[in-house]
Amino acid sequence: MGASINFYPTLDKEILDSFGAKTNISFSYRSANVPYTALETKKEGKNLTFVDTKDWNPYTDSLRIIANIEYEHACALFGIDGIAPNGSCLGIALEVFSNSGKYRQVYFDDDVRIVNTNEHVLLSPLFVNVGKNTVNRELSINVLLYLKEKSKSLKDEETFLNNDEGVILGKLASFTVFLSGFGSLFPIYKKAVDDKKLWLLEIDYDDPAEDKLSDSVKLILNTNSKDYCCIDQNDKEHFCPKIMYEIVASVMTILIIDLKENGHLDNLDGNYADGSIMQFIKYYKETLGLDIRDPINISSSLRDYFEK
Amino acid sequence: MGYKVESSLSKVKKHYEEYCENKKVYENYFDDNYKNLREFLVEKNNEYISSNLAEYDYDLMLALDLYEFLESQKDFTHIFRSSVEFWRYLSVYVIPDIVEKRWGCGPEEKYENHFYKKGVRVYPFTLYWYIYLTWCGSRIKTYEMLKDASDDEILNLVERPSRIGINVDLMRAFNKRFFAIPKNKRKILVNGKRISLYRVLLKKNTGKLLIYRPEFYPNGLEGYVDMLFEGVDE
Repeated sequence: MGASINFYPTLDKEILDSFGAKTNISFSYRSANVPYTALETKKEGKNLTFVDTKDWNPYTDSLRIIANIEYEHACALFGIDGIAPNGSCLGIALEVFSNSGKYRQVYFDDDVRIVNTNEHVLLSPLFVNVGKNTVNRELSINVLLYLKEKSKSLKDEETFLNNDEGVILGKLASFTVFLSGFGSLFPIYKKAVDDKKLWLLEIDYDDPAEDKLSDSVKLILNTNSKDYCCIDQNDKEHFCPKIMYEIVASVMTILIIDLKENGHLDNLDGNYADGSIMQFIKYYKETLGLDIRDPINISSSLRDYFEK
Repeated sequence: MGYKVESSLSKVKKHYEEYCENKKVYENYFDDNYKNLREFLVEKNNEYISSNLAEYDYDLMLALDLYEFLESQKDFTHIFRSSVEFWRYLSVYVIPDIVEKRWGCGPEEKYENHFYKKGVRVYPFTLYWYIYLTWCGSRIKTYEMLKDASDDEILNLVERPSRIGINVDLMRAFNKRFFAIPKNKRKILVNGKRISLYRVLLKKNTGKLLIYRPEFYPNGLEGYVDMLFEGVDE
């Protein structure tokens, strides 16, 4: 009863492009019994942040995540050039979870049946409602394609395709949305501190391959600072988002230099625990091209990233 | 009102070190929610200590008490349930004496882990989540199901990480099925060694979740749990 490894073909970019699927994820919120209000998001790679979080309060408002999906050529998914046997039927599910929030919800429409056709299909929206007081840090969102019904007459040339009901064949879309507003993976706190500095940083870890980033790094924004107005989203006159990006870039630079000086970045090829500091650094290096050779390049590549 | 938390790990650590030195619990760190919780747990703790319960029995009774108390509090939301800051605060600022009685305290990591250092090993977190993931609908049913288990089950269940959040219904269905297995069949022989079937099945679940999701598995959660238990002598 060991770990499962999937040797079958799964959805890759080429097949996804041929399938012609378009997935649009949108958000809205409401408190009590008022109608839902839309929330605008900004995309940063595979991450989303809310453009303006001040209207949605995770402690008083529920959040609705909606996936609108359409596709053109389902036939690309079937047969020897696809990922599912002819005669099978596929389904789509919206999966929403938070590892830090120990939360999970899945929605799928049992009436959705993707079969071997060549027509444009617009599906009814899939949605998940996250109740108030449920999550307040991050949410991961996956739109999953799975084998709903197996083929009852599997051809010899298709035996290399997965014909196992319930198996996930791939993701149509995958995002992480940060609920604190600045795409932060570490907590950002606002506190009145007896200090002139605009921001303070706490870094405390023992094993960066295991210790969670959210437990080990804390950025504190000092509401007592005379310059706090420049990073206060509620102060429309003085607020300057670029200052916040500079602060976050500085925090990450300090963290990376600290890790480098302690020898933790000599080799970034390990298997790291979910949410760990090293997983975060590895993600940024591989996915966003972060240059970690020396302090100047670290700082420069981070600020380049935030300028995008 | 919510529950007060301390977000600074270094401040929590400092408070823990001060506690280890002077063994004092300072009520000025409590709000009313914590005050009531502490009074309740201290009373229960004293009752169990005077009954001379074995370690697991003590853990189980205190876990059921903690779970039922918190579930009755309107301010105890899922945000607090999953908040490492909340469990650390409870452990270090509110009931450090109870944690110390069970695990000891000192500068070594083996003590620190149960107070604040390792999130999934913080003692009140472990107790609460053991019951949350096994709850059968009532205290008596949950107690009857878990009374023959051990600290090994607590550790394997609560400390097992998940890559895709936690499906509480799945864990409760899994645990109901597992604990219906007679106690003498809960260890299996692998390469001449007797190992925990619970651990084996939980690891199987971790592996299966890479390619399946219980929610849309054939026959849903029930079908998924059946798949996990395929081949098990029940």
